[in-house]
Amino acid sequence: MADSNTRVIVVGGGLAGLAAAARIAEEKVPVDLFSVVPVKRSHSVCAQGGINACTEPVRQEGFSEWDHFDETLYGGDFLNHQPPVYEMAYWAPKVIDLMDRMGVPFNRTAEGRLDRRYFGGSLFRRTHFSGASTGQQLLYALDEQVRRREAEGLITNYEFWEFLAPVLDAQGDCRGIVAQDVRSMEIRAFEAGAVVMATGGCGTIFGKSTMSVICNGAAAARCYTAGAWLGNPEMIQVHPTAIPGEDKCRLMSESARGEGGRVWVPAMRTAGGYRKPHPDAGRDPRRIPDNERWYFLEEKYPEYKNLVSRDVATREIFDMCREGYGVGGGNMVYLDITHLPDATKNKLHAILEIYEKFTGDDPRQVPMKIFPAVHYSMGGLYTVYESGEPVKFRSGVIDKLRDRMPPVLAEKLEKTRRNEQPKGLLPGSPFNMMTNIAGLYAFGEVNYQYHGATRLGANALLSCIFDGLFCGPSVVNYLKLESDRVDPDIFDRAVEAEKQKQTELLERSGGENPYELHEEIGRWMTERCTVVRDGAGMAAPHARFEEWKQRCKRVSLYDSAMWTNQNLSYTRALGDMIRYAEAIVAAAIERRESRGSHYRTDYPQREDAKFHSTSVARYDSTRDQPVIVWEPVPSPMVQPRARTYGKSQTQAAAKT
Amino acid sequence: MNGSADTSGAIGGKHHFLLRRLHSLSGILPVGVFVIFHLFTNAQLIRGGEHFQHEVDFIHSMPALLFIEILLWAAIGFHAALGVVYTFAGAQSNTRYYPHWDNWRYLLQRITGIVALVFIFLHIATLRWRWDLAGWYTPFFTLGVTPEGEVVNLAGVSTAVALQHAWWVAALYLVGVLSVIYHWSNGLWTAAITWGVTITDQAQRRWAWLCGGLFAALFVFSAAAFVGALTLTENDQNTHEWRAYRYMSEQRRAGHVIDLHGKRPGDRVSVSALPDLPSTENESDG
Amino acid sequence: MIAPHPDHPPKTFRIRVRRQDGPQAKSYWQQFDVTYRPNMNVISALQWIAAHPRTADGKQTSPVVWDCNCLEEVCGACTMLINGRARQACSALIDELMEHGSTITLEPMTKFPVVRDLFPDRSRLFNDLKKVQGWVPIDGMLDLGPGPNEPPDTQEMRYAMSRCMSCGCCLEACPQYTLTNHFLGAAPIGQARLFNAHPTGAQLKEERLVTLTGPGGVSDCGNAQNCVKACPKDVPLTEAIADIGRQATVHSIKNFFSGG
Repeated sequence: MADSNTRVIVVGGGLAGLAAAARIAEEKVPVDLFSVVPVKRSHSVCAQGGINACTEPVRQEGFSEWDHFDETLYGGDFLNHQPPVYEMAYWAPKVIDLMDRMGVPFNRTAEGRLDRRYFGGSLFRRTHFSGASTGQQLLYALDEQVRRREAEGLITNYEFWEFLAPVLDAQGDCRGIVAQDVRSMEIRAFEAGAVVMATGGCGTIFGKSTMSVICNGAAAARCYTAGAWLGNPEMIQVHPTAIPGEDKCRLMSESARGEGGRVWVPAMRTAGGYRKPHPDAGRDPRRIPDNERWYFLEEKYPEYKNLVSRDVATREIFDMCREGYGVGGGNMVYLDITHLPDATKNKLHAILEIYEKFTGDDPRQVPMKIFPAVHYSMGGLYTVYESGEPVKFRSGVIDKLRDRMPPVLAEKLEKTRRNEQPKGLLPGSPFNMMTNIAGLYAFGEVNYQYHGATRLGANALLSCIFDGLFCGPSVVNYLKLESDRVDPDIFDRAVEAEKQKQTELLERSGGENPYELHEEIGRWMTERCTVVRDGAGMAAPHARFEEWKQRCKRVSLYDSAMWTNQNLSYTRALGDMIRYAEAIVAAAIERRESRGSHYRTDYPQREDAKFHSTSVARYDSTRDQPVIVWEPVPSPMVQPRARTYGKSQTQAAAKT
Repeated sequence: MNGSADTSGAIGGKHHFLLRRLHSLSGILPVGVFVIFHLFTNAQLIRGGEHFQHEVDFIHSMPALLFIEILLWAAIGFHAALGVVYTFAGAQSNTRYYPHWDNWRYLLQRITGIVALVFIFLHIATLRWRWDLAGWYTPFFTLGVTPEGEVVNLAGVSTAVALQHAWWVAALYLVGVLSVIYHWSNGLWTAAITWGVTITDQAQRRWAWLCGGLFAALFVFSAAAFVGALTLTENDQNTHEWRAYRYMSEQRRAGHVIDLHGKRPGDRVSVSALPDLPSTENESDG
Repeated sequence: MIAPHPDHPPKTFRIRVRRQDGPQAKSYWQQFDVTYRPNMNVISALQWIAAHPRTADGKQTSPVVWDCNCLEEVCGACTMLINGRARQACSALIDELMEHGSTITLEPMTKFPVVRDLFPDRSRLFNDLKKVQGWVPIDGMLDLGPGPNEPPDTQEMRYAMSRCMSCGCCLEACPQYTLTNHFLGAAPIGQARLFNAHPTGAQLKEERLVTLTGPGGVSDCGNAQNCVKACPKDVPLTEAIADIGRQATVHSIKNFFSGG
């Protein structure tokens, strides 16, 4: 471990992790890449629609990077920090170019140039795509580059290794990780100069979501309980269109609407021109005449139509179903692409195939039945950054490390700051996307930056790759900071602590079933803490979470084998998920306003005076509880404005 | 066809690819072209023994026959030897769970290859080498002589005798010939993929029609030969040929080789004067 | 929706699992009676077993171990033999399977070593992707401008090839691909075609063809064409094999005459 200061650990092999690993390895810094699944199977493969960027033809259609930046803030209800979004929007075309060079089969125009489609939250065709499996294609391209570096010996791939904890030294700086091989169950410490968390979202806290089974937030929760903060954990995106399923909800991409798909419910007009649900709920949708179809999104949002921001579409669909308009009176509405030309349907082949395989219906012929499902965590590990102007953060990590910066690097950064006066991020600053723990970074979905209170469709792939590409050099620069020799005992102690936790876990008894407990928590979280929230529904969280924690301690494992014990891994993660869930609920209770995805019926208005702030969740280890503190979000470039997506007031009134 | 061996990857080492391609080539060109000729020749049997004899004589009159034969033997030997290795070294047939036509086609290709190999061996052994396999003795003569010393054409009758020897010999020929033509026409189909001639699905399907047509044509040729051979029975017109055949085969079985070198049908030889010659094998071979 | 046995939905159905405690252990069978719910897939049945690890004859046992992630047939992880055939457990719907019998058999893939139960070790597949150098050798990740223009039909071909999720169905179904031999199989050959078709990727074409004309290369294909039928993503694998066959032919003829 002599050269540990020159190594970087990346945890997570999705888009952000792979982009970071490849970018860091390109600086000739060896990378240890940890992933609980083979990186090619990471959750990024599930992203379907596309990736936003103001490339040249989009600009000529009247769009600009500024618009991209502004749309993202508007979509995020201005909870986003602006410099990172600015940088991302202006970098986006470079990301497209790079992925294009890597051989991503982006769809092409007749002339052989990049094709684009419409997407939610924008009136411009600014979303680049590869069929309807863009995330898969982008991930594969990065996976291939990583494999190339692996073949060259610059990246070591630890697949099937699960992150258990960050290893912190006496100063609280991150010096490595403890991980476990989920096949051999070996627990080991790995030393590194810096650790990048790129571990994605936490959807399975809600039981069924569109996320993959590994997206349980456990890795983030393990950092959180080790002292890292969470930012805006309550901001959970519920995607308007998914196929409800027994084991998960399968995403039906926004690209279906981007390519012209329409959302409707069966309805009939009463004498006064008002609408009401049709009495014959079980009709074949193909036989329902057009005047008995209510294209409610198009009617309410004449400008954006079916392409309003996701939280808006979700709430509208949710409301429709609550008012009895759902298909068959239940919780589903139609997403209809049957009218689209074949060439367009072909571009959507990947998702139509999923729909057909999982429901047995051919969506080319029959409208799809969809319902909202938990999809993305805008919140995540709290991170800081450097911009042209100093930004005030609650985290003192920048001040703490400033003195350790070698003069050469400090001068170079200062020169850039002076000469370029970046409105976005300061390139190469070792603090970009660093958590409140020195040396511990968060990239991608697990990073709370960029998306504020709602993420716009096709911005996730962008933010993940952007983090890796732009902030990879930041991590490399962090390695140049002076640091004390690490005390080797901290690794032994960390391994010992994890082994002890594991032994304790194996010895638990009491008959509690971890899978049933998870289901119960997921159901509660989905009911109380997703589309519509209110203080009463989430009341008395402490008692509830205490009960879950106690029950988790009484879990009996059915498997005591020390070989590929998934029962053990699952139960350990469940304990961490409960901690994460508690932070989500605590922040959701304290945010007494409605903003983006966070909609409180008891506080339906946005309250900029009080809550134009990040909710920062810190773990109080003595009480095993989150503490929420608020950090104001600065508005250096764009002042918050009302976010209506041009909702037609007359129609809204007519509805009631 | 079992999974026990671990050699198929290593066969041929750095010449692996070359060997595979030569295997493909040797099956199509020398062996395949010969099979077409052979079956076409045999098909003449349905038009009567004379037409068949004519074709056989034509082949025998070909220049560099020896060279052609050596080439053929080498090709068959090479193709068969590698084929056996490829078949038995580490392939696992799985038509139970993947009962697609193409998968059966794949399995059949390997089965017919082995069947064809056994069949060709028995075919050559009994006809050309004139082995007596436990009473299965049906030697082939292009020319023969009656006990009275009249030289006659025997190609047709020899073939008829061979196929009429027993029901199972006829069956063996049927299976063997079908195997050969299947193996070749299917081999021709897959070779187009292997060499990269047919790439798209449509191209492969079109080529499959052609190869299927070829299979059908060869089957028709073989059927003609079969019908010809099975219906060529002894009658008033050809009884002297049958007698000549019986005489020839008895003599041959007894170790007497009758030298008809340079003789033509209708010639007469003095049978009683025939000495017992060592087997110089210059009886007219088939 | 697939009719979930409209008249009499069954209360339970039976899952037979071939289990194996570790790579060296002997395999054995266990049966489970799973409570039926409409719209179940094999994953939800396995999840049910994980929550209720009791065999059909009432014996307490350990939960069945299996590999999965996305559950929407795009990550490739949950590939296993379901009633003998390799496919993803997530897209294997119980109602559909029960049309063919009331017992569903689950086994691990046979062409890869077993880690535990239904969890295979597919590292050979990923290593083979390294062997065929399945990547575009870009100069680096700096901003060097846009990629090469590409006609839509080339993009369509590459997209079709690029949907391969390395699940291994094609390899499991291939009679030429065995646990012990070295055949690359359809998936890596498909990837070679994908990258040979890219203008920058083609810079490694000759090197890829050296591997592909070596032992275990494209010439080991036996044209059973199971791969393309087993592929859940309709990757045109047989076209890829033929195309690489053509490239290999040209490559070796060129080498023969140029002394390469």
